[in-house]
Amino acid sequence: MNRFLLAGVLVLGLLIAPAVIAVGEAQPRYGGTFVTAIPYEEIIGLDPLRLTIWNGSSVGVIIQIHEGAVKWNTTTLEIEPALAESWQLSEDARIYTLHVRKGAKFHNGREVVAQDFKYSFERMMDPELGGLSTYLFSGVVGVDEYVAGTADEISGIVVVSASELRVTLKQIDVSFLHNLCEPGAVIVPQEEVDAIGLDAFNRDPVGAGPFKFGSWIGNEITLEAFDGYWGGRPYLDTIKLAWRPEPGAREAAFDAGELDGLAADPTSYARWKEDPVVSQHMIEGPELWTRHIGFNTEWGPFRLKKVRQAFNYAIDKVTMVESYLHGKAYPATGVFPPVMDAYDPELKGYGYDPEKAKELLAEAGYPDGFTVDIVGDPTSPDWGIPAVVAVMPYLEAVGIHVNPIPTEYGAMVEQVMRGDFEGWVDAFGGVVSSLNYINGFHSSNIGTSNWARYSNPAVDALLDLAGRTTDDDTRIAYLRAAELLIVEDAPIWFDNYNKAVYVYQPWVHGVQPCAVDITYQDYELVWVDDTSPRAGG
Amino acid sequence: MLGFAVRRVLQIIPTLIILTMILFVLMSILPGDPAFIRASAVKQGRIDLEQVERLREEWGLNDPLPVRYFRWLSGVLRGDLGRSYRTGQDVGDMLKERLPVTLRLVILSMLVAVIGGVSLGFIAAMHQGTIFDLAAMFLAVAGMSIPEFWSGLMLILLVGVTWRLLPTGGYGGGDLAHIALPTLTLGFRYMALIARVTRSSVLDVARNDYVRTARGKGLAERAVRFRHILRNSLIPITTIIGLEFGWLLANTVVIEMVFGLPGIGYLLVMSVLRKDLVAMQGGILVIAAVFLLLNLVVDLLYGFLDPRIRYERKG
Repeated sequence: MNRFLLAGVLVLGLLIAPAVIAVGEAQPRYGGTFVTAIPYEEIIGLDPLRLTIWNGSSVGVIIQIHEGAVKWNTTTLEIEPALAESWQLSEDARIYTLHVRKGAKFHNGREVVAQDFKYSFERMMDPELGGLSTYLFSGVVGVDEYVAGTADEISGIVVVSASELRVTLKQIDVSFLHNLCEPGAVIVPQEEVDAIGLDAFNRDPVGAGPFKFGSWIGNEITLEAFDGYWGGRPYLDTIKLAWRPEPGAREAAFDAGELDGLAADPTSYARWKEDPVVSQHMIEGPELWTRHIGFNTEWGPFRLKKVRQAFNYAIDKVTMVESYLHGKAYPATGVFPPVMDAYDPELKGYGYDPEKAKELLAEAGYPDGFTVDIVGDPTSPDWGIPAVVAVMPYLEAVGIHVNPIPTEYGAMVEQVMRGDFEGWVDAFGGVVSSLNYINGFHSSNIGTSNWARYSNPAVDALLDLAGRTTDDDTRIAYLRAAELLIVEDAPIWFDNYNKAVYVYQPWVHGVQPCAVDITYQDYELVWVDDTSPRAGG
Repeated sequence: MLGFAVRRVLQIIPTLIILTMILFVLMSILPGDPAFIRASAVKQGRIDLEQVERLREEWGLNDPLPVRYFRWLSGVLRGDLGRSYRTGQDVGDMLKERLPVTLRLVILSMLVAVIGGVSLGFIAAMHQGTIFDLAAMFLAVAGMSIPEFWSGLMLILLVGVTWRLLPTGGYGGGDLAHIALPTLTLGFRYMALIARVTRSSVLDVARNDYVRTARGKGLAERAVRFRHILRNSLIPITTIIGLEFGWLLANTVVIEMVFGLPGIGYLLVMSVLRKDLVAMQGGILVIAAVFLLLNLVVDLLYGFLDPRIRYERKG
């Protein structure tokens, strides 16, 4: 009797257990509509050709419709296979062999082949089409002849077979795969572009991403799940992305339940942090931006390292982040934000020490301080003139008198590149490759991206070495060493790293803290349960 | 009368030409190079100077100002408004998409403002000194003082979030639910002004001898009010409507931003900020044309309202 009882209990237990486990863990559900609002500029187009990486709104939509050879893992930023399922690098690190994923399809049903890669890369470089992200492929062999018109293809991009593409670079570029992750490098089907023309394709694209283009009415774009996506059909049926420029209105829309998810800005973050419901459905994480005030190291007091260091010691950035930005940032220690591979958790950076600042200024020959004009965007509270105004009292206290000069961004860029300025406020970053992130401090970039006109041969040497090192750990070591020197030289005031915050309704699951930009959600991982008013059927 | 109308329509053309010429010169004086701005939008800090040169060539920015202006003008006469520096899209297409949104907002707001304002002002005047009059005028002052972005947001919070009666924003294809709040916000301020002017005008007219005569004749009060008082007080009101109309057009920008409507206002703001000269010229051309035409309608309305003007114009 006992044996049978025992067996019966065991069987019963085995039958019940899965049910118990299933109840505890919510199962992803297919179906439903997800509505979100885009906070940046209006969406200007869905063809990567005319896209600039700065039109965050367009990028957010493009990455749902299109896909590239490789992509960044949303949270770790590691490079993952996408339309290329694997790749090899040659011994001299100049030749990339990409293997096209078998069975990956475009929305029109056709399979993706190596020729599609070649077409997509070449069209960006085609001088007649006016592609803006030409920097992505400018290092490929044969590009110059193609652009000059003496060749009608890029010789460095070779279709070895339908499933194999070989790309040869002029010299080592350890960041090349990162280029292929960028939205400018997505793969598009030639026949669709030719069928309707560039203008129409910009409004009605066909790609190989998880969502198909549905419609674009006014400000609102609707995307539909693509059943044939290689990664499997997304859970959601539909995504609606609408452009709403006014933060207050976006907040209101979320509170009213009209939006399923939304990136929060500092004022709404402060409020939602305290809200018992919303604070439970909020994800936060660092994004790839380093806010700073930069110094023209060729001008006046900023020529002296001690002055620049004094500037860094003078400001209590921890308090600034807490009170001025309502905690929506991470105080910066150095160049790299915490989510990057080259980030050094051991790096101390500058603490708040106004006495030391005054000491350094006196040693440098400015015991009574000095006056400086700082240009910047007139309105941004994070990286514009308002941020400067917020820290002015700290600087005033050590004798540095600041004149904030609101300048329209384009005009400021022009001014700074000419060297006709004293200081500026801005944020740099937005790139995943740590080498590219820090490269603005290389002296060869004075006049272009090296706004501080900073020059340190040791830093240059380290960055050059890093640029030639394919081993990740060694490269990171070089980059960290360079960062240490840069922090010591202080060509900028290291302010903070952006904290991205995303709030979502209780019925939403699967959202993640995307480090590139939190609005670039992987919607194919998102699903809604049946308590959503838009749960569909 | 027809001759008058035709003459006025023809006058619009040189006005537009002079306007766009002045604008062209102004924008080229302001700092900021459109090619530079576009190139700097590509990759932060990493400006490709060759790309800047290429864009300057493509956009003809290296040519002298008069050449550039006439190139643009001849394009317009052919129906080609050029390609936006900012988005690369054909400006004509961009305007075609956006103009209906703004026009709809403007016309509906105007209707709300005129009908609401005249009614409110008229009734207030007819019940001068009563609590209704005081309340109406208080409302009017409030309306003129409260900035639209605030009242817009308040309406969104109240009607959209707390009461969940209407959507909080977006155009939604232009249906009534989506256009209601923006129209009310924009119309409210304008309505307040019209109400005040109506009230003063009506009170003024009501004091006239001919009104007393009409009453003395035994005419029904209703007829006195509408045929004599209201009709005659409409003339100064119409003047105000025409004058303030430009303000209404300008303020659509704010409303479009607050409610996220894809209209011309936002296009113009971004065009100025990014020195997108092409889109800006095209946008202003269209808005100016709309403004001038609507002013013409107001002027023609005078003729309808005031027979004296009609006879003047015949000559």
